[in-house]
Amino acid sequence: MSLLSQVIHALYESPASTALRESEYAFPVIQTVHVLGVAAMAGTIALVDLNVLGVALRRQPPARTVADVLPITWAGFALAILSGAALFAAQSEKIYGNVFLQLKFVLLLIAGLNVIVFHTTTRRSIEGWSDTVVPPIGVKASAAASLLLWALVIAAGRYIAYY
Amino acid sequence: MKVRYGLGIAGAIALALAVPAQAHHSFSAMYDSAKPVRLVGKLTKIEWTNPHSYFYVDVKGANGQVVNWACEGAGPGALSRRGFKKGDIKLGDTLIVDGYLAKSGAKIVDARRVTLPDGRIVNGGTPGDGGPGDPTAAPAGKAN
Repeated sequence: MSLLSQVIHALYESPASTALRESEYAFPVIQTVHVLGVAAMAGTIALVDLNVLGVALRRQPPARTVADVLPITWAGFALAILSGAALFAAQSEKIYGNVFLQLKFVLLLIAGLNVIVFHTTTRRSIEGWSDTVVPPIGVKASAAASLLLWALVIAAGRYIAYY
Repeated sequence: MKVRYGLGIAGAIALALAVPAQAHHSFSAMYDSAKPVRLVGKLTKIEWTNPHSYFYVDVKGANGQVVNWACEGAGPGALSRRGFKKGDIKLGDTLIVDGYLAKSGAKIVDARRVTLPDGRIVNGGTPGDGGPGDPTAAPAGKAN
């Protein structure tokens, strides 16, 4: 038994995981929280991306959009990560071999790196942009990649059920 | 961000191991609607779990050999609303399970109809999975 499978087994058999797995109501309720968290996070990220691309919120600069929605993005992230961790723990031993789950984790890593790039480099230069200055092509590419990556994360997540 | 990194790395490790496992899925992803089967056997294990429940029965074949079969059904909430509670069955009970064989040939069936020890018959199927008898399935002609 590998170390990972031992850790997963312990996680799966823990009292909290077992209770959630065998629950009548908590499981679908936490699934609902997960969807709400994803909606808040991916929805607000998409607003920023579309603003950077010049598709939405054209009358305000991206810096303002980021400042407006970032708390919602973080709240959504917190809900999604906590509910997601609980749902994973409850099903861990039966689900960790699921190709779509693994794909989702890899996509989350890439999308997360894109977020870090945005906040460490792009966002610093964003303050200087105005409605007359077009964002650099690299920034637009990052925004387009963000839209695509989060859509793929959601698709991979949904496909866990169709493995 | 650290948490997300951690999950990503865990995913990458899991990817490298590529462990086969049962998971949440639709009917047609796993079962063959052209292969109905009836199992009669003694209950050996209960997994009253989301998103699917599993129970295991020892079935004696024609050659006298006993084979343990996994029977998959809906989650605890759906079964409970149909009047099937975890306490209704106990290890050693004899169950009659009408279901469908797995496409893979594995010893697992989709338990669409379960006859409990007290004679009650419950629909064990997962709602909305598109399998035979699923009330939400489109009338494709294949389903009976």
